[in-house]
Amino acid sequence: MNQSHCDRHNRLELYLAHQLSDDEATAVEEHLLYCETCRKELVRMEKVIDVIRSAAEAEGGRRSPEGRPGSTRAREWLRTAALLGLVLLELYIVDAPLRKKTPPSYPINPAIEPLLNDPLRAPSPDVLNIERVFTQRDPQGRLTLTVQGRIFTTMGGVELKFYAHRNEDFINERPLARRILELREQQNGTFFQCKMPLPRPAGWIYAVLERENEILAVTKVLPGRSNPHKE
Amino acid sequence: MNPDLDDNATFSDFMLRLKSNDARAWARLRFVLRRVITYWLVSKGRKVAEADLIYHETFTTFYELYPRCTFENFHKLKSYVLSIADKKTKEWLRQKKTHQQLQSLEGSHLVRYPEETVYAEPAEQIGDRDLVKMLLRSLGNKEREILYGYFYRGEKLKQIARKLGLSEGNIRVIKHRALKKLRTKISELE
Repeated sequence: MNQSHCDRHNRLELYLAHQLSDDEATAVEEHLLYCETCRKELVRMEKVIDVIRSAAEAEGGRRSPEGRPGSTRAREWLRTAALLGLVLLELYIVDAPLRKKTPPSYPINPAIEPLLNDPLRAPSPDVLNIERVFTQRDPQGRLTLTVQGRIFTTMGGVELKFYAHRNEDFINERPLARRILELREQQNGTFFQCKMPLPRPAGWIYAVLERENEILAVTKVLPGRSNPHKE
Repeated sequence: MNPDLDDNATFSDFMLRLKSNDARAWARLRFVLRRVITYWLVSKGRKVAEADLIYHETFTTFYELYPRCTFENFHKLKSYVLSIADKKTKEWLRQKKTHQQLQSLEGSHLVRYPEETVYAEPAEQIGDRDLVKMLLRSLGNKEREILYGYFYRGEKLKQIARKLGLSEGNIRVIKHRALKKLRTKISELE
């Protein structure tokens, strides 16, 4: 592979962008075994490309193509209006009094459905229904995970543990945050709310609800969205 | 044997060095195989962290099996390594599945969490994120769109050019300038 510096540079760039055929990629890899200059160049280029990939992943790689007609100022206005709308919606959702009998946005636990109109008929053991899990960002940019639900108990109370995890493999990893909620001598149908500050905004957050070392629910939520997806 | 390998080195020279347990040759092979295995696994849809884990397993196995093997060329060595990586991936997936089944069968009695309430984020991760943000702030939207398309979504320059309504040559120039800008920023930070 006796080539000029530019040729090598282009080859390495194509290799890193996965734009080479298998044979061409193998030739580049073999050349890397012998050439110190190319190995150093590859490491330098990888740093730049890692930055690009991290940013693309963080933004979802969905940035709209430029070059379309339309002024920047108009787009800025649209963006501001959309953000304002989102903030208002979030405020409305959070401040809405929970005790109003509004239909929950979260799927109802089938065990709890018949009790909604007759909370005195609580089953045994305790049943709880997670109604909403969402994340919220305050003006300072801090992120909070909130779990809201309703508890039906005949056992005089219950202790719930909430964990927030970044990864799917939450069994083996350290949680981002943890909260314990004690619901003692509550009436049937009592709403509960648990807020956990998250150390930093991340991708998907897995909210795990646990009682006496038994996982009751796992909910996957994306910061900034309030439409959770239950696993 | 030359003290170091150069551009004109042959694969058999390299193999001789491996046979004589030359630490530098092994380091070079590790450098290349790490990329070979990781790129291959990522192209198969594995996450980078998983790919890295499988790479370590693969390389250890390859190192153990190597004295019993001979390779005519790099292509054969690569195929052999990828066949080990394939087996390791299957093994890893089987283990993952078993682990999940165990968890669902036995409940979560294995779950043991540390006692702290809120955990601080490792400082270097926050630093990385800020770095990425800061670096990309120095690029325009068009430049970012081209870089994301080319390096992240694996689009060809022709496709990007069609999408943005520009010529391929123009895209190449913008990409080159954007990369140069990023590289300068990174070297300034280092």
